Amino acid sequence: MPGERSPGWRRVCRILIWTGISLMGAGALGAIALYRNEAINAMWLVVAAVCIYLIGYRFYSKFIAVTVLNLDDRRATPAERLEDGRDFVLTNKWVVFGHHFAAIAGPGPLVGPTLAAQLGYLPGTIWIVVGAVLGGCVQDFVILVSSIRRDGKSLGEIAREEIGPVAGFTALFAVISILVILLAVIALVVTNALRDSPWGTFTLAMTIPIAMLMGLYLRFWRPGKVGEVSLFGFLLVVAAVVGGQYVAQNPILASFFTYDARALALMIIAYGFAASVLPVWLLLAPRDYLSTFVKLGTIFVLALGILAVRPTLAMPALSRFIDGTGPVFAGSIFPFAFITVACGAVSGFHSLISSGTTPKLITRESQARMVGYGSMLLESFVAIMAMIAACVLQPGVYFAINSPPAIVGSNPADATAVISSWGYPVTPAEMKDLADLVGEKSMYARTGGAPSLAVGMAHIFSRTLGGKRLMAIWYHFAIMFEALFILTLLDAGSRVGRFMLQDLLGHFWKPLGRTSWYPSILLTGTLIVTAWGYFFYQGVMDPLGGINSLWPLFGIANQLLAAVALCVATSILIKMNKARYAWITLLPMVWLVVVTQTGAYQKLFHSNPRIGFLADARRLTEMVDAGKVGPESLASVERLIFNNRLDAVVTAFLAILVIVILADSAREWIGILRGRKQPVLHEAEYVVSALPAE
Amino acid sequence: MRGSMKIVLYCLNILRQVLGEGEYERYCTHMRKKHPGVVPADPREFYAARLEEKYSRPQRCC
Repeated sequence: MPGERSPGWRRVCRILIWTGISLMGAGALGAIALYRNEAINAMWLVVAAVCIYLIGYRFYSKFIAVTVLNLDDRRATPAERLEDGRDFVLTNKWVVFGHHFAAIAGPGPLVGPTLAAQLGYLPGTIWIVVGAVLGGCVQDFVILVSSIRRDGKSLGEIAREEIGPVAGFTALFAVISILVILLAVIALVVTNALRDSPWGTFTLAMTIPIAMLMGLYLRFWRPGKVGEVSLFGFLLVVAAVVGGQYVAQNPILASFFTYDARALALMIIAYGFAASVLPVWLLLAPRDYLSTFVKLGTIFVLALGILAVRPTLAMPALSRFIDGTGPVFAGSIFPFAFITVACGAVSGFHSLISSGTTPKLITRESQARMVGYGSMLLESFVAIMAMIAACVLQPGVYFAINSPPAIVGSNPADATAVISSWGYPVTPAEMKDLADLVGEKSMYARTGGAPSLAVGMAHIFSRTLGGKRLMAIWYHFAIMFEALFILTLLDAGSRVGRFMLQDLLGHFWKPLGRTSWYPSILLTGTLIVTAWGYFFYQGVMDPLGGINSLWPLFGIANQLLAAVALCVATSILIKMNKARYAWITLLPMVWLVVVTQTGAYQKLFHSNPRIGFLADARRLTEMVDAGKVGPESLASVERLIFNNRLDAVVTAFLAILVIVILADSAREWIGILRGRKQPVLHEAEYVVSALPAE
Repeated sequence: MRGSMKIVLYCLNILRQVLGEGEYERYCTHMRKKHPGVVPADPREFYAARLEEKYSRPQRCC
């Protein structure tokens, strides 16, 4: 028949297309890796990443879906079997995909690559792509399927049932500790972006009444009309971003919104307390709609911007700081590049989402491939875009924004001289121009990644739309975009942390586990906010800027949780009689264990005080003993010594927790593989789906 | 032209559902189908309770 081609012909076409994609990906990757001493275009990164994602999705995820997990569309999912109209709901696969992606994509994939850019674009880019395809996506996918087959149970429950009570309890404990460090470090990121910035502070402050207005609208006027209210809210936020300029230019108004880091920190902690006791419908939920709306929109627009501008990367492939002396974070390429990139490649936290809301919405098992593996690929691509946005800046400018004053000096002349002496030229005049262009007084030492990312994004956006005239608006829009979902994560995280803590403490004393008992709510809520508030405040007061100690701690914690999730996944594969395929989760797990344990060891015992917590405590103690510390700064130095030791204890504690889980699992695996133990899977029973075949 | 308009509308509809619109309607459909005798909660009560539930579990990630 004319127009219709034979199956053989279609097959040839398919093979040709996939060979083409493979060659293109390999070519682009080769170009990125081999180009030296010559600026390359960002499109090389985009093409390499997208080709590798396509190949990973088409072949590797299919192999996992079909051969390893045997996804079966005749098997009814929890959404069908347990449908309750609330949590368990049969949902359109694109809605589940969007829902899952919006849940997993947070500040991590934006901030991590921006910080990792200090090593050059190459190490971060390779790990973002390879780590996602072989590690992060696999983790999200396998945990999602495991949870689907267990009525949507959480990671902690799955660990308890499939490995043992020790692993289950340890996993819950690890999750709470990681949450605390995560909240502290992202609060620090937003503080560094808003300090001495009346424009940014005004915009973010305005999001609170805007969200409350949205909440009231939804509660009393038009319940459930989330789409329209998010659109109104978005327009109001844009008005706040534009209006911020007038606030910043008016000396009296500006004085109301100009705060140093310490004052902002106290306000953010107070906000955390308040937000965790206010009803969810009033502030948390509407701001979450707003942040999801802005997040999805901005990511989409950033992708269009990069495609339209096709910027050249100013950062070299490898910077001189691969030796571990970098100003943004100290530590050499191994293991710290892998720890710093964090969520863009593998994120342990995703396993909580994959075993949370998402498995209760999926209609058919086969959709888990697109939702689990596919969403993480998209998140990895967000990380690539963040890497590009950071690397379009001149390296000198990047380092001036991201270096703490303790390293480069606190006045412009010193800082630019030090940074130029590294071989990354920058002048005070350039930095002044940049500050004027983005509507800030100064852009020096705005550590934490968010401001340099915002400058990079503003650079890309303004070249598409508006030129230099709109650069300041774009910069503050980008800051608002990051700050908005960081604040949402702070209150949502505090709240979830409270419930987890209640769950944990309920094991020791029953009444504490009652989630509606007011004294328990108050106690656990206060504990959580105090915990992250403490680490956060310590970070603000840290002369090295706090990011240097807290971000690696967060990275280690998050990758350790990923190791735990992959360990649970490996246990499940072994029990499914798929031990010969267990390498798909075992290899990334081993890699993450090696990376995180090396990282933890170095953070504890490295002799360089910028890397090793204990070395820094020792250095400061020696200073005090030698009488080099004046009486006026004695208290703050003693606090630094204490904090270093506390960080060391937390690091050691997390590393040990993971070893406990690994040992507990290894015992189980060996028992099964040697035939001493019966592999008992705790899956829900197999029920044949009554849904019509697709 | 009409085709691309359709795609845009479809995407917007997906976005609205991702944000959580239409949950009450789904709940009512479920109640009619599975529990015909029971009077469903009114939308205000439903959403207030629903949000409290939703945000007690990990919803947002790094």
